[in-house]
Amino acid sequence: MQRTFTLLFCLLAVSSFTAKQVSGQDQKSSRISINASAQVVESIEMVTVRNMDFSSVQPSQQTISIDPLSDSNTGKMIALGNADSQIRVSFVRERTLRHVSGTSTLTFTYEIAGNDEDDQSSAEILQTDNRDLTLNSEGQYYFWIGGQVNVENAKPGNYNGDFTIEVEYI
Amino acid sequence: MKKLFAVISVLILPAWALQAQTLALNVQSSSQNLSVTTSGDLNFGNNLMNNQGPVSIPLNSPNTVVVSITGDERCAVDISVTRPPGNALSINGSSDQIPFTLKAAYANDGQDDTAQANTFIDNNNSPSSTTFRIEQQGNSNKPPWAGPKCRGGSPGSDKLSTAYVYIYGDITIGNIRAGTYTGNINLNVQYAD
Repeated sequence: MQRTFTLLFCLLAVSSFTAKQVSGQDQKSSRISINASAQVVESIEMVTVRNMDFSSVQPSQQTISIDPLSDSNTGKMIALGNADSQIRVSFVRERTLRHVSGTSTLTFTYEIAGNDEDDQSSAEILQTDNRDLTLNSEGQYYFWIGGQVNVENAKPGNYNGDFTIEVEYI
Repeated sequence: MKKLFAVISVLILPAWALQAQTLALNVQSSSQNLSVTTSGDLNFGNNLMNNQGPVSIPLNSPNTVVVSITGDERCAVDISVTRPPGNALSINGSSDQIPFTLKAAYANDGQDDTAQANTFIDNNNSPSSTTFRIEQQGNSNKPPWAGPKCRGGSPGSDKLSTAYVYIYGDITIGNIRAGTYTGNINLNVQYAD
């Protein structure tokens, strides 16, 4: 009788162990979580603080030059957007100015300086395609626009042209 | 009486022994681990604009999330997907929301190939679960009767394979405030019964 009980106990122990294995297998599942996200930023606005001022050109002048780092006649613009965001700035360096009442043209070569502080003297000269610029903690970036134009053979009169600068988030 | 007891013992013992063998067979059931990994999160972009409109991550986009499920190639798995509340992404659960359409597909031909994928969630009304074998054409050399069993009793294998679930979808950005909108997608994966 004792031997039979021992044998039964052994068999029960085996069945109990085996059942645990099956139970463990039933738990073979996995759960993962995926985060879906979208970051919406403020659109970038460009504000023109002032236009370039050439004043009046004298007949004796050969070139007009406005230094973007030091001249007070530069144009000034501010980009406004998301604080601390990286931006890309691009522009066309040469633009054509047209005589308002004729066919004469002048080619203006732009030079632009940029800074995340409102400080022209410490600004950096920008190339035509800049990708490593950042809006400051208030979401601002400053531009000073200058350049050169040769007026040696220019006909008297007013010349107009536009300047396009493109600013976008990276 | 002693003789009778001895006979009963002999009759009972084979019955227990048979029971033990049945359980031992269950031990052979597919014991391959079910391993689930993900390629990352579903990011619709970091510089999206107010009122931008629809933004999509299509199935074949590099931004599609790939969930790899590795297990017994002959066994089927149940996949259950839980969408973000209200089918929307939000800023910390606030009322600022972006409508989100979750989409999902799976490929079980042994290759991570979206071109072979079967879509099982295509819109917000699609059922959020599906079942498929880990490898549709599992090629284990072991004959079906010789290998372990899947959880539901069908022939398993001693060979691992990987199936792929693709998570992608669309959002629509309306007139909302700037910020980071998020939502959680949960996937439960288990061997099918």
